[in-house]
Amino acid sequence: MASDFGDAALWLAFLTAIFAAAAALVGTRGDRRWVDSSRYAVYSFCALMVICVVVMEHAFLTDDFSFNVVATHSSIETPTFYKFTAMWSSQEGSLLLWAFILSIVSTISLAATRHKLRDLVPWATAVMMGIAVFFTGLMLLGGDVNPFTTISPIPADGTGLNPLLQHPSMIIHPPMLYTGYVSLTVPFAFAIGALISRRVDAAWIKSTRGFALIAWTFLSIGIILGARWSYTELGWGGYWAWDPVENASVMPWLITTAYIHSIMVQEKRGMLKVWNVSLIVASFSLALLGTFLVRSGVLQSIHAFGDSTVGPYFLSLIGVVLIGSTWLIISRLDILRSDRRIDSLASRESVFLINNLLLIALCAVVFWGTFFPLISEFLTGTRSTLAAPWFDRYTTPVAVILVLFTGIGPMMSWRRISWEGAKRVFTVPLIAAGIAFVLLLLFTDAANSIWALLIFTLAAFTVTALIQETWRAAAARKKSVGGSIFASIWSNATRNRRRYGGYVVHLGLVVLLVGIAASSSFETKQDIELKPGQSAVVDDYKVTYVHPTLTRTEQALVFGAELQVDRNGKSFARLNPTRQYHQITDGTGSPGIASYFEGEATSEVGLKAGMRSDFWTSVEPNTKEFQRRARMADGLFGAFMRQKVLPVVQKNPSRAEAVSAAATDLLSLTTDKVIAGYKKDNLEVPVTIRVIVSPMVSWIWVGAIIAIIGALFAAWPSGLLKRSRGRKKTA
Amino acid sequence: MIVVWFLILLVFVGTFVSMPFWRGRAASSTEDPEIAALEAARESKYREIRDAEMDRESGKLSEEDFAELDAELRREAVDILDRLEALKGKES
Repeated sequence: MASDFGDAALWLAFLTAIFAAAAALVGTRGDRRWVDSSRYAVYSFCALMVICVVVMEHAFLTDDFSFNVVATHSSIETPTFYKFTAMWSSQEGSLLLWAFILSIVSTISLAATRHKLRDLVPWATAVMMGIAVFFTGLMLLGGDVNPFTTISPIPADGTGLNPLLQHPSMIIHPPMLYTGYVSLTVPFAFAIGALISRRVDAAWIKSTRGFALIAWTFLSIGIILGARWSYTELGWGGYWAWDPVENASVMPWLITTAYIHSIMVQEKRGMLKVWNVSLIVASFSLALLGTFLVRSGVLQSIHAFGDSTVGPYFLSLIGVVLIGSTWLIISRLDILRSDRRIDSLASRESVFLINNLLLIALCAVVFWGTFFPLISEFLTGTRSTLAAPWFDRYTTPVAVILVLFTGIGPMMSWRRISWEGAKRVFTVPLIAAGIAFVLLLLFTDAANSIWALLIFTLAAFTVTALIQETWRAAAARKKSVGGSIFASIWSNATRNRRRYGGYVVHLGLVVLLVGIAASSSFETKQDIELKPGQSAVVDDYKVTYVHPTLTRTEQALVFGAELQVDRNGKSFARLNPTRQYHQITDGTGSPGIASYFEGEATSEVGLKAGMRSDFWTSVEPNTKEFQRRARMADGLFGAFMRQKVLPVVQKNPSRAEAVSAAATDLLSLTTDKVIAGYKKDNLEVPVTIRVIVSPMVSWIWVGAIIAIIGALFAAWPSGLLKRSRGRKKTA
Repeated sequence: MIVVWFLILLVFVGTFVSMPFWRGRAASSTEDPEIAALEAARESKYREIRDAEMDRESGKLSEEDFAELDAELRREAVDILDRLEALKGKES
């Protein structure tokens, strides 16, 4: 059976990871053959993980319900696309995904360093494979989380995938986040290797910097996809709820951001070594914490897999990582001393240090708020939760200061900037900020929110600073080599990818924060109750409820409202927000139409997006009358089945299957009849429509895309294109 | 059946993983860590020199400040190159 093949591969992967770690440790004594053998073991681990994932995906795609995970997270009706992604909707599958991605990043990092960092790589290998042993061991020995567990008897169909997860963002969001979390393993492992081998110079940073940037990029993609999914799918109109698992992805992102900046200081000036090893330990620990939160059930979250047996194991791993790393750092403080001191407060090094402190402060606020339920329960016996307003109150001021430093950082020089130099670079951005401030006060209502006003003003400062930096450098290049200014910008950018990639990232983050400030400070939210034909005015918009919509898909009843939205007398949009009621398919629901109202309910919002504002609607239908008719139909159908059909089956058991199929078809026809009758009666049932007019939400998504492009540009290996062209020419 | 699959896969993995011990070629060579550290420091120093030039071009550094900083950076770069040459000379 396929499950046996997968199980065998997983067991061998577990043992191979153990061998790889052990061989690497033996190799630290100097015998390169053991180091090579451990590296080959890592490659083998990767191949075995590929086998496991292929077997798992094959099972999902072929509806092999002998696999317990397939039977509980997929069904024959599940669209093929979502069958493929269903693997990581389950606890077991997501652990497998974690181990799979770990195998890939470990392989790439060891292949890239096979001729380098001789003292360090064996220790790093041992750490990475130690983590691999944990995840594979957890799947095999940690309780009911083996992805290759089979069930008997094999059901004819599965229970299906949670309808909330059947969304394009949900296909990509988990793998992106996991890639972000897992990629942090590489710089962490190499940092530990550097500490153990006492090789704390910048060489290990150079080899792993790319992984930190990749981790940051994928975490960014995962976080923003999650926010987008929340905005369009969950029906409450927001993109960020300070949900514990959302917070758990933001915390490593914040610390990784600090790390990426801070390692530049170590590379250039030999400073902040203690900071850097501490930051990467913190990043990785927070990545494990995020993984733990989804699995443990300790905090309620829409993401949580619910209570499970794996929580204590994760806590143990986090404990080992933190305690072990802390001990190592303390024992190596002598070699982690900075080679130099900060020459001046007016320097890029100082700005990066302040940046570290701000990002850590932000992370600390989020951490405290996230774990407050546990802290309060521990201290007082009562579990209290901190809601979104608390988070907003304490994160906003720090975010404002960060926007400022996003502009200051690029303008500072390394070592020190003179007063004259500062005047030269700060004058124009400060003037731009002043002009922006005045214009905002005079022509907008930005003054109604002091924090939004500050962010907009500082955004003008930062954007001007970035443009000035880029323009001046390009002008200087143009002066010396000629050509157009844009050619000079491009030439400078490609010769200094990290710097200019960083500028683009800063620009993207500023745009994103402007979008957050505007949408959260100036949105108009209103719940309106309308009958068909009635209208209401929200902000500048007239919303008319034209008529209800009601359809049936294979697994859901879809109630909606056709809305006509006008602005200034002209047609603005035609929207159809819906609410879907999904049938319970695991056999535990009531028979008949009533089961639609016992399963998950999801929303599809009616959205007209624009750069100026989004017009967002969701509908909460009144299904009372429909449910009354459904119960009546179910009663009649049930009576018919008991009185007319059951006796036939009891007399002729061989006809049971045919009768069951006919009954299913009849129920389907009955449902359609109820729907048709309900629509024909055209009842004037009111619905509740939530309308949100939110300025500049689209700037959030645009800003995120800009930032991600900047990160990819910065991470792109310099000269790669030239080297490959060179190879083609010589070939 | 699990055991059969396990043994089949074990043959492949075992063969591959044991290759460094029986293939008869020398184990992979790696660069000297001291040299690697100096080369990383050299690259970093070149980057610093380039950054200083860009800072001058964008107006952060006056000509005097740049001249002083550039001289200091080049002295540090020469020092690294000297140490690198000495180490490489020892090796050969």
